[in-house]
Amino acid sequence: MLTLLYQIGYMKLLEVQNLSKTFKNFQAVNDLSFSVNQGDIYGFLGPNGAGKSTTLRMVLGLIYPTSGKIIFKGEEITASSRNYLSQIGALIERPDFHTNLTAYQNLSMFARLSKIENREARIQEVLKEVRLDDRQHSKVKAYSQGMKQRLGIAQAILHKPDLIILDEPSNGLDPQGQADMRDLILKISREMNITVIISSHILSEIEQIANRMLIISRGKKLREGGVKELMEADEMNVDVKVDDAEKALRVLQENGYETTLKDSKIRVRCEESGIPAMTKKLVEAGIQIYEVKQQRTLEEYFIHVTA
Amino acid sequence: MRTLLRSELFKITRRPRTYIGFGAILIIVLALEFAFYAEGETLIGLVFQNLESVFRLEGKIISVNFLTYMLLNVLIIHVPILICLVTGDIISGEAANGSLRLLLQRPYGRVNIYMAKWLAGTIYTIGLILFLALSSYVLGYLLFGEGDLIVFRKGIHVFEASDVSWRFVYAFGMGILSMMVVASLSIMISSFTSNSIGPIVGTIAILIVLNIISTVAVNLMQPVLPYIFTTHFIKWQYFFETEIEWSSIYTGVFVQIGYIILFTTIGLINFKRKDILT
Repeated sequence: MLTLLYQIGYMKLLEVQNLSKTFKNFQAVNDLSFSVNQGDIYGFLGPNGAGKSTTLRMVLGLIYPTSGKIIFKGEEITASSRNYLSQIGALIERPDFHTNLTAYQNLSMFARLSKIENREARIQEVLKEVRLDDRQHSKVKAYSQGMKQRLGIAQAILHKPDLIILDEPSNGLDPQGQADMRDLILKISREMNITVIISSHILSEIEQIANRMLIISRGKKLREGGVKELMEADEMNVDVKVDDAEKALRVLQENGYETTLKDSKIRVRCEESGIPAMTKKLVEAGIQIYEVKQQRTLEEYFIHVTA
Repeated sequence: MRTLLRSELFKITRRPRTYIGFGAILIIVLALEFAFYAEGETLIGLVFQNLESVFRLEGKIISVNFLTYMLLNVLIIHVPILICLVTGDIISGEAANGSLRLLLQRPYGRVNIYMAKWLAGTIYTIGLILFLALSSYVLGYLLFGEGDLIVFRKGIHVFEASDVSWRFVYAFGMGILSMMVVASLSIMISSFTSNSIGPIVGTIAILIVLNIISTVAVNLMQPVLPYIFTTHFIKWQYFFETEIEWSSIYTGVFVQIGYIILFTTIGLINFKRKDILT
């Protein structure tokens, strides 16, 4: 029954409750709670030093929480829990391998440690998935950053986990590398049916691939929910092109809107649901509207929320 | 545990620095044995010229046994450095390059991971000492052949060739125990840091300081000397006495085993509790 519920995505795969971590006098994570559902691509956002890596490391048992609970598949993770890690794959910050070993040797070692059956076939399968099969016998020290990142993904999915945690997987990649990484993550989610938690500074990446997200700052949760829902719920910038910008500006300001004039367009701050009312005011004032364009990107939203 | 140990041994065998120890030992053995082969009689003549008025020495002094005994002396200073190169880096090196993170993400307890690393370090240590024994014996046998052993230690002891082998087995066993203390110490220090060099330098510094204390042996330090592990690093020499002081050897064994347990326990507790931030 539990398996069935996970499969149809009704159950929380990972739940974090009131998690805190203090390093000496510095509180890195402060009473943080969130949950990741089966099948999510879960964006984990926050400015530098917000506590993202610390949180992800706590989930992986690399850092011990000061307080709070981490629940994976309904079971609380304690300091001595290790078995749950066989169902999680991760790439935290940099893909740090034994650089004097080849990609194949590194994966072979991890496959052994993960007690993977039919090791050879599985290694070849993941090397093919990440397009490193033709360079598998080269030493990792000869790899480019992009190849190392792809090898990092290979070791994360090697043991067919239910969840993979990717901390800045596109770090140091060129635009093509970032696009490849995005495609790979989507493939992992859709074709391999693996839930993904991804932390990234590249907000357009999260915007394109994540269905849910969490934004934290100074270790505290600011927002959590569906990416679209969150972005639509808060105020955003709407650019309006009209025949008489001066008059439109006056009308909107009289009606309490926060406005600026930009390149003969008026930029208005309002929620998505408030756009019809705003345009109605302009029409009632006899102003002709040529264009209404929402200007919100995740980047704008992120800056707005974390400011 | 077996899988972890295999993985640790595989990593050790793939690191170039692993072979520095074996290479250095081979160079030491070759240098000493060929030096004695070329000028041994002259060197020994100088040592024995004062004794010739008291003793009449017959037969050859330089033999495989004499050279192996001489080479065992490198245990105190040189071999610990070579051991530290690998064991001092075994946790901190991986913490520094980040691969420890990947290892700890696997479903193994930290106690198992630490013990696998300790066992791998111990196997390397035993391998290094056995290599010293084998290389010095094989080369010594080829160059000098069998012979009685004469040892200067609290007087002069002469052992027949047939009475020497068991002494070497015990002596190398004692040497392995002493070097296991060094390995345990460096692995413990390795668990506290995240850089490769710190534990190597730290262990060597501790050994030098304790060796000086053990050797200088001022009156003030006499009561603590039996409790310092480096004091017992020369206990292998006790097997080359006509009347073996077994009680002193047992003390050395117990003290050194005690230190191995102490260092391993401290390292384990620290490794189990520490946050992996690298």
